[in-house]
Amino acid sequence: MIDPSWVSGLAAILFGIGLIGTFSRKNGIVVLMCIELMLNAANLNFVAGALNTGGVEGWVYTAVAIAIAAAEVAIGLAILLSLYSTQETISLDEAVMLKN
Amino acid sequence: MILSSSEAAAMAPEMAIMAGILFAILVPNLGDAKARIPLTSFKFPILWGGTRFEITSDPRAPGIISTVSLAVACILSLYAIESSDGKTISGVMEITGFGRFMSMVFTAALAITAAASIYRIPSTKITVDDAKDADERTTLSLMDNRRQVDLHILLMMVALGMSLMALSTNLFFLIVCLELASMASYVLVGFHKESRIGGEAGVKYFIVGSIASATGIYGMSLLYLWAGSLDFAGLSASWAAMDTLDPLAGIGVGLMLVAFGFKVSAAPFHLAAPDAYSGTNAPIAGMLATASKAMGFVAMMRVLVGFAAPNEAVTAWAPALGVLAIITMTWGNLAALSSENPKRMLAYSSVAHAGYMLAALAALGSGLADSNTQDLLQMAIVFHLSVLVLFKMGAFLVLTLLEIEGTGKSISDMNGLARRDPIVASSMFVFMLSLAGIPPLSGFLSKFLMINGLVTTTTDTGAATAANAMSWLQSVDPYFLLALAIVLNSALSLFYYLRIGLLMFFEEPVTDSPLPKAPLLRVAILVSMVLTVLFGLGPASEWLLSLVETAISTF
Amino acid sequence: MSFTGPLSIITLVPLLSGLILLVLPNVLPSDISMRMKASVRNVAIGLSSAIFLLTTLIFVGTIGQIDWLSIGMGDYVLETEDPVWLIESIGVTWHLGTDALSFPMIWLTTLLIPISMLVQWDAEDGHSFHSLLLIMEGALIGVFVSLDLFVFYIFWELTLVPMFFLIMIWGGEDRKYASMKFFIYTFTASVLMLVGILVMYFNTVADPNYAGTLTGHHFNLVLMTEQSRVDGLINSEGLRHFVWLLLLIGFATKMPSVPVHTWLPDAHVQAPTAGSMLLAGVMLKMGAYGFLRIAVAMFPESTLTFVPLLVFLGMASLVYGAVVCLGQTNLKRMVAYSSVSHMGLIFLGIATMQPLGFAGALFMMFAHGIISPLLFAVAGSFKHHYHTLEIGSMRGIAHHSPFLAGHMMLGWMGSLGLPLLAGFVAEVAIMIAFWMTFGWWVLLPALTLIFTALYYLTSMQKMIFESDDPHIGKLPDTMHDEEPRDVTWHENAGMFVLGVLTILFGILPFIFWDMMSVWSTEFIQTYLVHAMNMLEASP
Repeated sequence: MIDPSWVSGLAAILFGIGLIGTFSRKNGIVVLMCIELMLNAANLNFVAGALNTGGVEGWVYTAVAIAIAAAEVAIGLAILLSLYSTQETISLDEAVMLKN
Repeated sequence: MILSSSEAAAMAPEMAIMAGILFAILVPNLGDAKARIPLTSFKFPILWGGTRFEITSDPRAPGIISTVSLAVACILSLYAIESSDGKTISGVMEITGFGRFMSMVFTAALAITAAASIYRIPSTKITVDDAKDADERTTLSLMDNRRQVDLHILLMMVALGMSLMALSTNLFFLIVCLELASMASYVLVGFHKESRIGGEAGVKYFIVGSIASATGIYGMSLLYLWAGSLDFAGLSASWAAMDTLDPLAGIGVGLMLVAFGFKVSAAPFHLAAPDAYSGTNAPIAGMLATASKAMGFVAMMRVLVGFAAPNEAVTAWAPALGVLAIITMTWGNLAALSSENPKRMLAYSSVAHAGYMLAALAALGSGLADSNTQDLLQMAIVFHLSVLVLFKMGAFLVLTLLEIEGTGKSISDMNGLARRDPIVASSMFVFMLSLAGIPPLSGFLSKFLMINGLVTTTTDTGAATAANAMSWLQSVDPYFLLALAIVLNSALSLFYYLRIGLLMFFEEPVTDSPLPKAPLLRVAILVSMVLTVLFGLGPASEWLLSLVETAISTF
Repeated sequence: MSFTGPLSIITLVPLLSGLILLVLPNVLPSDISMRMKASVRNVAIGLSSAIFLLTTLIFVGTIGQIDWLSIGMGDYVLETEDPVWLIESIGVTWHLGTDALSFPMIWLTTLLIPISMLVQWDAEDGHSFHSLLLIMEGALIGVFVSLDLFVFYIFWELTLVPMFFLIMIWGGEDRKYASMKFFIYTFTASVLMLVGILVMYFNTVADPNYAGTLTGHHFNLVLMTEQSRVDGLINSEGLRHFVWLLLLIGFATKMPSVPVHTWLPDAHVQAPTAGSMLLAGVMLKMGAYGFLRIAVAMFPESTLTFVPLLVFLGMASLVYGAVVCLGQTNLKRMVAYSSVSHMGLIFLGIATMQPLGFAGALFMMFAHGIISPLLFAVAGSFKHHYHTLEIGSMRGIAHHSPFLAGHMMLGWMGSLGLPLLAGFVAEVAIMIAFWMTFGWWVLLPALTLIFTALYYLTSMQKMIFESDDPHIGKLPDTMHDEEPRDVTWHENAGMFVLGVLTILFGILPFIFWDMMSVWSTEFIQTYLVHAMNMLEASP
C-alpha cells in the first residue's frame, strides 16, 4: 500500500500548482480549474488522513468536499457566464469597470 | 439522520428558516389550476399552476415571506439564548447560548436585508404585455416575482448556513455551513446579472472568495492530517498537548486564517470587498458588511480561541494577527478617506472595523490576558458584531433609499440630504457618528470595551513609574500599541464620517424631489437609529451586554 | 429617586421640553401645529424663567438650607444621593452636584437663557429658535452639574449641537463657513480631551460602589479627584503631563486662548444675537470651568510645572486680543476679541496659584458672563436697527437711540473695568495676585488694560456722542433713508436686566465673591499646597 505521506506530498504539489495558477492565469475558466486543483489537494489530504487513522470519518469528509467542489464549479460557471453575457469576455484583466 | 422532536424544538430558528424556504418555493406557484377526475367532467382545484392568484404573483410576496420567517427565527433565537442547555445534535452541533446569540445577530441582519430588498428590486406590478419593445420586456421580466423568489431563497440560505455555523462543534461541519452561506452570497453579489457591473462584481467576489475558501479547506485537511480528527474537542486536546508548534498545525491554522480573513475582509484579503460592495445593491452590501463579517469572526474565534488558544509553548499567531490588525485598520481608513463612492467608502470603513476587532482578537491570543479579561475581550468583539448590524446596516439602508431613486453612486449624491429628508439625514448622521465611535452611541461602547480590554491586558493599573511618556511607552507590552492604533485610527476615520455629515447638512441638494416612500425601509432605518442610541446608554445597553455575557459564558 | 433632585430637574426639564417643543410642531396636524408654533416662545420663556427662579431659590437657601458663603472645593451640595447607573458595564452613573465653582455658572446660565430669548423675542422661525435655546440651557447646565466625566463629556459635546444649528440657520452671510469652523475646531479639541479622559479612566482603581462594572474602572469625578489627591491618579510623570496637555488643548480651545482662538471671532460675527450672548456668556466659561475642575484639581503637579506655559498663553491672549481689538471696525468682532483678551486674564489668574488670583479668575468668569452678553445684545440691536456692524460708519448714536447708547456705554465701561462695575473687582483681584506672585511683571497686563481702556473710551466717545451736526449725527449708508429708531421693548428689557446686574455685582460683589474666595482657599490648601511640597521635595 502507498504510504500516506506520499499522498499528502502529492496534495501539497497540487495545491501549489493551483495557487500559482490562480494568481498567474487571467482566463476565468482556467482560474476556476486551478481552484478545483486546490480543492482536490484538500481531498487527497483527507484520503491520506483516512489512511492514517483508519476511521471512516476521512472518507466522509472526502465525499462531502467533492460535493462542495461541484457546487463551487456550478456557481462559478454561472457567474462567469453572466460576466460573458454582459462584457463578452471572461478574462479577469478586462473586467475593470469597478474602479472607484 | 432524522431529528427527534426535542432536537427539532431546540433547532426552532433553523426550522423557521427552512419553513420560509419551503413557502418561498411553494407559494408563488399557487394558482387556480384544476384537475379533472378521469372519465367525468368533475374538476377540482389543485392550486398548483394555472393562472396565479393576485396575491401569489405579487412581486412583494417572496420578500414578505422571507422577512417574516427570518424575523421569526430572530425572535426564536433571542428567546433560546437563556434557555439553551448545550444539547448536542448529530455529534456536530451543540445548542449553546453563544450559538443562539449569533443566530439572532445573523437573522436580524438578514431580515433587514430581506425587508430592504422588497423595495430594491423593482416591485411595481406590470405585465410583460405592456412592454413597448424588446429591451423593456427584458427589464420587465425582472419584475416578475420568480426573480424575487430566487433572491429571497438565497438570502434564507445564507441565514441557514450562518445559523448552523454558529452551532457547530466540528471544524468540517463549520466549513460546510460557511460554504453554504458563502456560495449563496456569491450569487447574491452577482444577482444583477443584466448590468455590466453586477456580473463583474460577482466574478471578482467569487474568484477571490473561492480561492480563499479552497485555501481554508486545504488548511483544514492539514489539521486533519495532524490531529486525526476535526472535532473541536479533539483538536483542542492535540493543540494543548504540543510542546513546540507542529508545522502541520501551524500552517493549517494559518491557511484557515486566510479563508476567514477574506470573510471578515482583513487586509490583504480585502481587495475584493470594495468591488463587491459597489457592484452589488446596497442591502446585499449591508449583509456582507454585517452578517458575513460576523460569520467570519465567529469562525475565527472558534478556531483561534476555541482550540488554538495560546498555551505556554505556543503563542504563534497573535503577533501576526496584531500586525495584520494594524495594517487592516490603517489601510481601510486611508482608502476610505479618498473614496468617492459611498458604498466603497463604507466597504473600506468595514475593513477598518475588521481591523479593530482583529486587534482585540490578537490581544486574546497574546496570552497576557487572565480569564476575566479574555471574557471581556470576547464580549467586546461579540457586542461590536451585534451593534454593527444596526448602524452599518442602517447606513446601507439609507443608501438603498438613494438607490431606489437611481442615485447613490457618488458621494455627492448625499448633498443636501438634510433638506430633502431631515429624518433620514439625521439617522444617517447618527450612523456615521456611531461608526466613528462618538459617545454615547453604541459604536462608542463597543469600541470602548475593546480598548478597555486591550489596555487592561497590556498595562498594570497605575504601576508604570517612568519619567517621560516615551519610556512609559517602552515599559508597556507591545500589544498596547494596538489600543493606540485603534484610537489614532478612530481619529483618522472621523474625517470621512463627518464629511458625509457636512455634505448632507451644508451642500445644496441636486434635486428637491423627496426621497422614495418605501415605508418598511424607513421604519427599519428609524428603528436602527433608535437602537443605535439606546444600546449605547442605559438599561437597553445593559440588557444587550448581559445577553452577550450569557452568550460568552457558553462559548 | 435620583432623577427628581433639583439639579436633575434644572438639567433635564429644559433639555426634554426643548426637544419636545422642537419636534411636536413638525409631527402634529398643520392647524394645531400652527397654533403651537405661535405659543412656543411663551412656553419657552416661561419655562426658563421658572428654572431661573428655582435656581435662585436654591441659592437663597430656602430649598437646600446650604451655607453657600462657606463652601470649599469638594463640598458638593445637592449631590445626587444614590447615583443611577447609566452604563453599568463601564461605570457611568447619573451623578450630579454643585459647589462654589459651578454654582455661579449655573445661575448665570439660567439667567442668560430667558434674557437671550427676550432679546431675540421676534426671531424668525421662533418656535425652533426658542426650543433650541432651551436644549442649549439643559446641555450647558449639564456640563456644570455632572460629577461623572462621561456624562460631562456628553453634555460638553451636546452643547455644540444647538449652537451649531443656531449659527447655521439664523446666522449672517458667512454662516456656513463660521459654523463649520466652530464645529471642527471645538470638536477636534474635545476628541483630544476625550483621549485624556480615557487615560484617566484606565488609571482609576476599583471602588466598592462600582463593583458591578465589567472593567473595574469608573468615571466618577469625585472619586477620581480623591484618588489623585491621596495617591496620584497617574503615577508616570510623563503620562501625567501628556494627559494634562491633552486636557489643556481641549479646554483652551473652548475658552479660547491664543493660538486656537480663531474660530471665535468668526462664530461671533455670524451667530445670531442670542447665540453670541450664550457663546460668550457661558460656553467660553466651560473651558475655564473644566480646566479648574479636571486639569488643575487632578494634576496639580503638572499644573505647577506648566505655570510658565499658562502665563505665556494668558499673556499672549490678553495682549493679542487687545491689540487686534484696537484695529477692528466691526463691532461684534471687536467684542469677540475683547473676550479673548478677558479669557487671557482668567488664565493669568489661575497661573498665579494664589487664592486671590483663583477667586479673581472665578469672578472674571462670572462678571464677563454678564458684561459680554450685554455687549453682544447691544451689537445685535445695533445691527438690527442700523443694518451694519461697522463702527466707523456711524457717529452720534446717542442722538437717535439714547437707550442703545446708554447700554453700550455701560457695557464698554464694564468691559474695560471701571470701578463699581462687575469687571473691576475681578481685574483688580487678578492684578494684585499677579503682583504677589510675579512681582513687577504685573505692569505688562496692567498697562495693556489701561491702554485698551483709553482706546475704548475714545472710540466710544466718537461713536456715541461725536457728531458733525448735533441734531443728526452721521448715519451709516445702510440705513437707506430709514428713520433711525431706538431699541425695541424686549431688547431694552433684556439689556436693562444685564446692565442692572453689572452695577449690582460691581457694588456688592460679595454675593458670589465670598463663596468663590472660600472655594479658592480650600482648593489651594487641599490640592496645590501638597503638590508644591511634593515638587520642592523632589530635586
